Amino acid sequence: MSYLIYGFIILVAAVVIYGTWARKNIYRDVDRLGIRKVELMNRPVNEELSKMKGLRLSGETEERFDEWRSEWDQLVTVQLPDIEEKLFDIEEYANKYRFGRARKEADEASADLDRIEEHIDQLIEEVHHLIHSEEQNRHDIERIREFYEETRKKLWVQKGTIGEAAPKIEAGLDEAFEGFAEFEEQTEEGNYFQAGETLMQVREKLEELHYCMDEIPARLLLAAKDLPKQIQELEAGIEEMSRAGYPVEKYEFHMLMQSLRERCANAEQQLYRLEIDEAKEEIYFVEESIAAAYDDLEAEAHAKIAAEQLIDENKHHLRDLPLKMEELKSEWRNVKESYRLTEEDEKELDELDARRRKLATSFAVLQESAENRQQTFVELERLLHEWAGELEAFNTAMEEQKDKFAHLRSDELAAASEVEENRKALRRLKNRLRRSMLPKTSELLAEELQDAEEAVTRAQESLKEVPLDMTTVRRSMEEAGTAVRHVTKKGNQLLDTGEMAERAIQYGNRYRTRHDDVNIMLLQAEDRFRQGWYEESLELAVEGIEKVDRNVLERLEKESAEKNSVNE
Amino acid sequence: MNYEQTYVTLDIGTSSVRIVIGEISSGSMNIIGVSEVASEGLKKGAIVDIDDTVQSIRRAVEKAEQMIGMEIKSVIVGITGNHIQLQSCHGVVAVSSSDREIGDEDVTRVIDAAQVMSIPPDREIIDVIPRQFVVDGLEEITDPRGMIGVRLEMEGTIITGSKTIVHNLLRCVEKAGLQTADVVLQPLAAGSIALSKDERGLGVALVDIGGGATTISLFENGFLQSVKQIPIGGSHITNDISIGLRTSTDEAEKVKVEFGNALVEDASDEELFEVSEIGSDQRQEFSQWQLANIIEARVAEIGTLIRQELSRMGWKSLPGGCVLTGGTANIPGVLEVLKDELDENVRISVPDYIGAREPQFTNGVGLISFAYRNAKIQGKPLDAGLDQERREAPAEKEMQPAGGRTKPKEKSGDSPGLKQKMSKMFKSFLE
Repeated sequence: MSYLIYGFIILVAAVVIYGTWARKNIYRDVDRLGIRKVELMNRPVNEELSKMKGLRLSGETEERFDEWRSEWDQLVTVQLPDIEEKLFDIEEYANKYRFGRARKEADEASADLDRIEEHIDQLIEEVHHLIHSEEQNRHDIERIREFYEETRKKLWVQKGTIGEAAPKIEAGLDEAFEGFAEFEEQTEEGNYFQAGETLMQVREKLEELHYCMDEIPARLLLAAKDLPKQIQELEAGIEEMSRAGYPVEKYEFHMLMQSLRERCANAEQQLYRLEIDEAKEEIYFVEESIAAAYDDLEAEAHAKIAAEQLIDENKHHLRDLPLKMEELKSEWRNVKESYRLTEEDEKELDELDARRRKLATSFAVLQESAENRQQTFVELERLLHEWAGELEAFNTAMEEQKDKFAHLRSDELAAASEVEENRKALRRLKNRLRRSMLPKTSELLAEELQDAEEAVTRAQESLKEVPLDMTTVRRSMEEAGTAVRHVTKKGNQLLDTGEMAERAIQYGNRYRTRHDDVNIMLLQAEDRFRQGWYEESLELAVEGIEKVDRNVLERLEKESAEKNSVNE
Repeated sequence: MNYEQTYVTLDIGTSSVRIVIGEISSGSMNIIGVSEVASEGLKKGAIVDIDDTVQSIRRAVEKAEQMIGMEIKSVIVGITGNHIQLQSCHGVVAVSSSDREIGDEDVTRVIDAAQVMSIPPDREIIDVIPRQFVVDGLEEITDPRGMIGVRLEMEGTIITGSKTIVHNLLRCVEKAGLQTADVVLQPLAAGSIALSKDERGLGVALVDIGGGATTISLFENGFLQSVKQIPIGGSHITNDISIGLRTSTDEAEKVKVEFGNALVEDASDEELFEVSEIGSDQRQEFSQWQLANIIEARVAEIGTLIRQELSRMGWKSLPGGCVLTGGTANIPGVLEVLKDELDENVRISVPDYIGAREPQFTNGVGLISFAYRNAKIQGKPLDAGLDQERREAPAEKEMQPAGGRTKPKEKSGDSPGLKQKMSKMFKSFLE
């Protein structure tokens, strides 16, 4: 029971303490919001609005002034007082321990104050903008008037160089002048923003006219005089090349020249109409076309020299081809007597001959084309290069064919040498078998040795056939090589293991009398040794010896390696 | 290893010095190590330079010691040559023991008695080989120990040799730092493992074609009857090759081993090899067939000399045929050529002991076998070959400098000797 009482007392105390703390916080927030509200009310909006009185309050200016004024009034008389009431309500809620509601109202009040502050800032900014534009206009009008005067003077000076574009420019200037009047009118009416825009348009116009007067003289000279002259010169050059034997008609220069002339005329008219950018494009196109035409003519000139050179060079190469082909055929006939050649080999030679004939025909066509001006020299040069490439490929194919024949002979010699090497390998193995005196080795390897010898004999026999079939020879060589490698590997492994097993048993003999278990294993090892089962013999011997002497196998291998290095 | 029954043999030949180490265990022999080095200081089987011979022996001993990781102290030495003479002997003694049981002492006495005979001063007795014992008239007794009898006789063969040659040989062994456990006639030793009982009984010629000489030993009725040596062997073949191919003897020896064939018809014309021409840096190519022509001629000559010698020894036909041994018998074709020359059955004997399975080790292996049995029969002790007190673990053995015998390192703490003593003490405590 006493615990309940204590608990209750503590609970009550906690509630009281919390309430006091929360209320304190809310009161503090209310104070802050109140101060903020007062600050907003004291913003110098009226002062800013009063600055507008220096302007002409009519038209757009008047409208704006009234609008801003009423907005400000609304803020001060309605919205801000509402905030004040809200603050009282918040205090009320706090006193009644309705802290949640109080907090919510305080947040709403803060948000409202943020909106009001934003509105006030915007209002002030718009006022400033209007005032500033009026000032700006006053400055700009002076500068633009000066600019106008300048432009007019320029027109007088350049009238002679801009031709029929002068009236258009003058009309432009008049238009700009009218803009000034409009500006005055708008300023009178208090439409400062509109006046500013009008001034901007006048300036842009004047700048455009300036630009035209800068660009037109040079461009006009190009379009009307320089470029036509270049076209004429080009035409003369083309004519001269045609007389010199160049097939320039293939380039259709005549049509190009005509088109260029039309473009020049077009560009001139565009300049008169003040379409400067379009005229520039046309002029650029004409210039580029003329340069390209010159490049084409230059390339054609170079190509003629190159084509004539290629024709001369390749005439000699072509002349030698039939002889080379005949030599190859003769060699082929000789090779056929000694070696068996496949149908494919014959076919290859026929194809080679066909290619040779095709080369001769196509060269004749190219030669004719050069003589009769059937195509441009540039094109002819390209075709001649292609033809030269085909000739090179043909020569390569001929060399490959010759190499093939040569390889047949070298393959034969290599095969004979390989047979001898295989025989030597077998003899070395047999010698080693004989000298080793290891039991059963000959029996263990008898079959493989015989197979290897037979394979080598077959390989040797295949070399004696006439004509020699190199495919069969290669196959026999491979079989023989495989058999010999297999038997030598097996034989050497057998001998190495046998020698190691013998050495292990010999080594283990020192432990026999004192260790029965070692003796038993060595006896088994000996038995396996005499049967020719050397691997098993070695395993048994090592297993037995390692009972009393560790690392024996390592030691024996080291000994064997040392012995082999001494022998080598 | 049973050190007491481990023996080391020394076979000093014209071309090689060989050592074989074997252990006798339960009546069988196990080879523990072998070594073979080139021999210097000998010519035609005889010592011509003691120092060179001593060096060769030391090299062979060092090689063997390195192989087994133990020191060799005494060796059984093989001896042969034309200075060897065999003569029959006879000895008689009365059995000494009171119960008339024949013991070791009686056997020793009868053997000693058999040696009482006139021997020229320049000769000495190498060994006495009992052929049979006779106990109270009962003949063909091989071992009279344990038998009851009054009169013990022995019929045997005394083997004598030139004092000079024997002493020179033993001097070389002594100078090499070894003790001589026994001296054994090599043909007897070889015959003990190379020949079968039937062959020895029927009559057989054991032909040992060595490096510098060929020893012909005749066996009949189970015993060695005569020994002869002809001063021609494998080294003559090597010389012929050296002269024929105009190359050094080293290269000649290599090609003989690698490519040699004594039968021309078996030799290949396609198997080629190169040798350096002596006196220049050029190399020449020859075929096995050309080599075989040189070898066959010499081997045929050896065969002819053997036949002539056999005839001089009084033998026209050998029921047991001829048994070849020695390093030269390894050359392919030798068997066929000698068969042709001798017109007898010929075979090659190869020792069938794992670790020593080449014909050149026949003498070495035979020396162990024969010496052991002979000592047993004669009741005389045979010193073990290895030094029990000075043995090292195989992996820790260091290379001995060539030509010198250095004192082995003594281990600190548990020395092998101390270990053995401790283990003996422990064993005795258990017993």
